Amino acid sequence: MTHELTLDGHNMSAIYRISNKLLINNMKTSLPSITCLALLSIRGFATASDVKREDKIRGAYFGALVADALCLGSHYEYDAPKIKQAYSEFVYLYCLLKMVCIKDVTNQRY
Amino acid sequence: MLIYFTSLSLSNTILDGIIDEYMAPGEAMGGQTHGVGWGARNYHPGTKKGDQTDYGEYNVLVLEHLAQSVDNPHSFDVSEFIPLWQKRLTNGWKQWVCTQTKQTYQQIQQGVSVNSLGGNSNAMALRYSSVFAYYSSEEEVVDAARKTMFTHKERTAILGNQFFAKVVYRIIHNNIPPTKAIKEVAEESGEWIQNKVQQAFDKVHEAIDPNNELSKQEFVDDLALTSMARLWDVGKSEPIKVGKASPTEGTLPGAIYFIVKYERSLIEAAKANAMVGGDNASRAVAIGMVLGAYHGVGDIPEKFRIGLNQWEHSEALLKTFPLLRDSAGNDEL
Repeated sequence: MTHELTLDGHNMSAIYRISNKLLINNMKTSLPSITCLALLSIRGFATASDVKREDKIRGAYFGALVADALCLGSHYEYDAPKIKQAYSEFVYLYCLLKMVCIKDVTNQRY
Repeated sequence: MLIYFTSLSLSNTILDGIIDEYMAPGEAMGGQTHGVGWGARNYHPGTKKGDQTDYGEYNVLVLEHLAQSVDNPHSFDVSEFIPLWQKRLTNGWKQWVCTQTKQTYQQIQQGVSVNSLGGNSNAMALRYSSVFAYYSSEEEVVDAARKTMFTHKERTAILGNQFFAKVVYRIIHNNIPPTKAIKEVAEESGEWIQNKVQQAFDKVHEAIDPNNELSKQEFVDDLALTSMARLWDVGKSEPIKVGKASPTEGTLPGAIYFIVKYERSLIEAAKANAMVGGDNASRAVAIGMVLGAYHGVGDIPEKFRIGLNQWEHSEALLKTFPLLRDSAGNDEL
């Protein structure tokens, strides 16, 4: 017995959203990268034009808020090299902290 | 294996030096940023990591206003909006209060009629990201967009405001990509918009062409933006690079530059824009609306949802809006 799946806009929208969610979860749990590659391939077929209208409307609102909030730290700073330096130092400290945490949870594996 | 991946991740992140977290105002820069012409200060003194700038906060305010009338949807009425606006400005507004907001507040106190409100700043202030969930026609969306910017009445600021309203509407309802929507709306617009749009597309080509010197620069986006508008000699000691500042002649092509160059990813565009600085929050609303509409809410990574302090409050209101309430609860990620 065979089943035929028609990849219309609705199906592709679902694939796009589900693969997105699986990708995020996958990265969190550090499963083998082959899974990530497979999910990326699936996601590649489901383009942004397949996103449902309701998700686009919510995306417009939250996209604006997320992009705005990302600017809170550097808003009105006109010296781009200064911003880069600040974030490099911030990221460095953040990663150091993350490494310490990894060391703790992995019980001396690191 | 664990050591290898962790070390690789660390070194790459440091080399990139790209923002990947929400940050408090001036965080890692001494708590201040240097707004040219205004000096160094904390421009959003009551905010913390994950909060909005004044541009984003205005969008939340318009959302809250429209949420009061979801059972009786009607055209945006500035006189209905003003009481909530005044209340918020005088009770716990944590962000910068722009000159046009101050001026309009004074005009209302002096009895100026609603139709005559606003100042002549040429800065674009997009506050209407929620209206796409409330109104179903392009005419209603454009009308609401204009009225939410009632604090401004300068020609180019209004043109930029209406331009992005049409672009976002067509991405949502006509299901076309940003580049096509931008070109389509530009073709229907006047010469000023057409020239600015062309300028942005030309600059993207210049910035990604490996044979062009600009593409090889470390601060390519910064240079691209500053080169798209003239210098202003203000304050005699600090010429403003208008391309990065608030005037629409810089923010409009600047926003389009990031949208077109980083069309594949909302977050990549948002991060690159944040790294350039200047009035990046003004550009951010345009970039976020356009690419958010294109990729959908599902394209926003979980950490940026969780970290956004307005997410839950906004989500609760937004799902009651006319164009979303029938599908509310069906598509939670």
